Amino acid sequence: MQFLELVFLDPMVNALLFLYGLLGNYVLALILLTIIVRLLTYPLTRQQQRSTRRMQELQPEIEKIRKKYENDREQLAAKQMELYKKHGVNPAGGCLPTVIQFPILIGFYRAITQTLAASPLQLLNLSQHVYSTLPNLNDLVPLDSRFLWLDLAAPDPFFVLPVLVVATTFAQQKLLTPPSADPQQASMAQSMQITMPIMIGFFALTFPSGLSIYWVTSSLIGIIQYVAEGRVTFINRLLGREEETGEKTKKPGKGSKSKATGGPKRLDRGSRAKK
Amino acid sequence: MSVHGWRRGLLPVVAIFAALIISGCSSNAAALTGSSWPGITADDDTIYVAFQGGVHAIDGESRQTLWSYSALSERRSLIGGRRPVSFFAEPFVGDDIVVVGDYSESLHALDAEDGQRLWIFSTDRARFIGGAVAQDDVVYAGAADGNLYALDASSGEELWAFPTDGEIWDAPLLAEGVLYVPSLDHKLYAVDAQTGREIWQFETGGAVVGTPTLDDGVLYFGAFDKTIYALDVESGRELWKREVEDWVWDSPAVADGLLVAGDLSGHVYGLNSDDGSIAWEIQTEDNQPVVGTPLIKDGTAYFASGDANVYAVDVENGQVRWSETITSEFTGQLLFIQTGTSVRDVPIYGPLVSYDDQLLVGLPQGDDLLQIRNADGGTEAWTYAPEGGAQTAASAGSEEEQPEELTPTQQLLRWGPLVVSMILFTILLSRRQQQQ
Repeated sequence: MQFLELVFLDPMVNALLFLYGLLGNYVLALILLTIIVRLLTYPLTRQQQRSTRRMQELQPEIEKIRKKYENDREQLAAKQMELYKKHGVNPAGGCLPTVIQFPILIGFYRAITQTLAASPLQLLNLSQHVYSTLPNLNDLVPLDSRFLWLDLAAPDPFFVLPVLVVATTFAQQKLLTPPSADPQQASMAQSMQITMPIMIGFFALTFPSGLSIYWVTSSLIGIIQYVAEGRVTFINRLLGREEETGEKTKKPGKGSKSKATGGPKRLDRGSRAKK
Repeated sequence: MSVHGWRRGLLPVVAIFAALIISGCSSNAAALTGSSWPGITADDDTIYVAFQGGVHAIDGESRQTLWSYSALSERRSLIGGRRPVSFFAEPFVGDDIVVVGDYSESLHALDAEDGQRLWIFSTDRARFIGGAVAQDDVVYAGAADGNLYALDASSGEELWAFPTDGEIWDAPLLAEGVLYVPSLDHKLYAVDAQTGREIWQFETGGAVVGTPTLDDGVLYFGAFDKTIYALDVESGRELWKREVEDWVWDSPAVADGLLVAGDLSGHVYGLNSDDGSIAWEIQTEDNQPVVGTPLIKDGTAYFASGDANVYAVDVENGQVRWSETITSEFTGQLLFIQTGTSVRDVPIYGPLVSYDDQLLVGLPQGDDLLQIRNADGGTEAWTYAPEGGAQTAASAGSEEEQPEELTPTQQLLRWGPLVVSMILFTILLSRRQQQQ
């Protein structure tokens, strides 16, 4: 735990304090820190989103395979994997970014509760985690935890943030859940799409409102990122540029591979004719 | 693929759950995520302690509890109930009266003999973290809303309130009709005790937390800008200031031209009172903070540290005469079952209080509430725990329960059912879909 604190939690606490000193406003500092953290995890989230997008576009192909191998589960699974490999989609790639989200969530939770120290023991605790080398932290403490109607260290008394949390989580989930041909999987995914946002909304009712602000900001960034990526893909195709495939090891380039990725996408664009 | 799908669905659920648990744990969770440490005052024959749900008066001779006081909040919670309040401020002991603020919003005045409440003064939501002082039938106390309140000592009626821009976390110093008030707004104020008017103010670069010390016309205090200040008490003019290694919480102790002060990295300094030059410097273990003002008796400075040690140091040269580790039994609890006891070091944050030729040490955790050590040698004389182990009848919580944070066990209880039902719901739903 000490190691974790040193490498991850303490930097977050100090980064938050530093940004607060820079911007003079705790919410702005939180938002900026969220943006920075998203930038740092961009490679991972980008991977996941690309994977998801690919999978969504491969849906018709998957349907076909499913129909063909309806009675043979093994073959079905094997053929699916083959298809994914061919198009450079890693179905397990979705796990890592999701998993990373939660240590980051803990990091923000600790950073927020520690920096908004309200009691003597909490202030003492904060003093043990602050880097003495950072200038001007002396006069920042204790921090002003009020923002509009909110006390950032306490839950939102008016449910505004929890509702925002549920809405943005739901939207992001909807965008980022890859479709699955397997009906069992699909229904599982569907129920997760509903229960996850609601559950997180519940948590938002008891967590510090500062944490909800982080979560909403992060979800919004995720949504914007996904939509923007979509635009980029569209633009690339417009200009006739070749596209990278999902896997890092595979190089983008002309040849059969790019034709393969091109195929299903052209299907989406209105032409149902198979190449 | 289907196995992977299950894992996929459960993964976020389990991860959130784990996040909750982990966020409740840390290497020093119990020590540093609560509210505060015990507030202790002693007069000739009685020791008064405020901690968590109760204020206790202990007979110094017989070591028995004379009385314990607890109370419910004057504020109603959302559901309409009134929760028990916690006490951390050191009690003020007057002729027949004991005044102690609670960590919720009120200042209580009790009969010193039997602990019966005489009056109560309630603010909107201002916590009383530091103690009160009183003189000439007026009680003065600073609160976390930044106000220094002056109340009639017999009725508790508010006479005036002096506002500051930051919370007040310690008692004001009252000397010759002037109150010296530390505030987290970086300033030390001098306020007329009769009228409540400001006489002067002095601004530093960081929060001023502890009550200043007065000696021979000079005020000494420390601040979070890592500096110890000496001011002229009449004018508030700075005489000298000395930068130290880390934030200074409480003011220095003075004796014979020397100041002894600790900072939050565990450095303890001996300073010359005429110019603040450092005569000697020592450090406690592990960068653990020295929070409370040291106690000086007969050329020895006594203080405690977050490293769980009590030190006795020669005021002249900083040589450590003795040091003793404070340990206490901890009765473990999982859900509602006691899981046995362990013995652990207890970090100490408050100042040591003198009683006779003994030192009173307040423990912020563990089954003991007070340990009384002999000033000569530091050996343990006796320990004190109120009935039920640092709880009182009115307080339903355990030692570990704090108003703000939940222990891992409590978090498990709180969120467990919800998470489990979510998982079950999801499983049931997909099962049903499968059957269709």
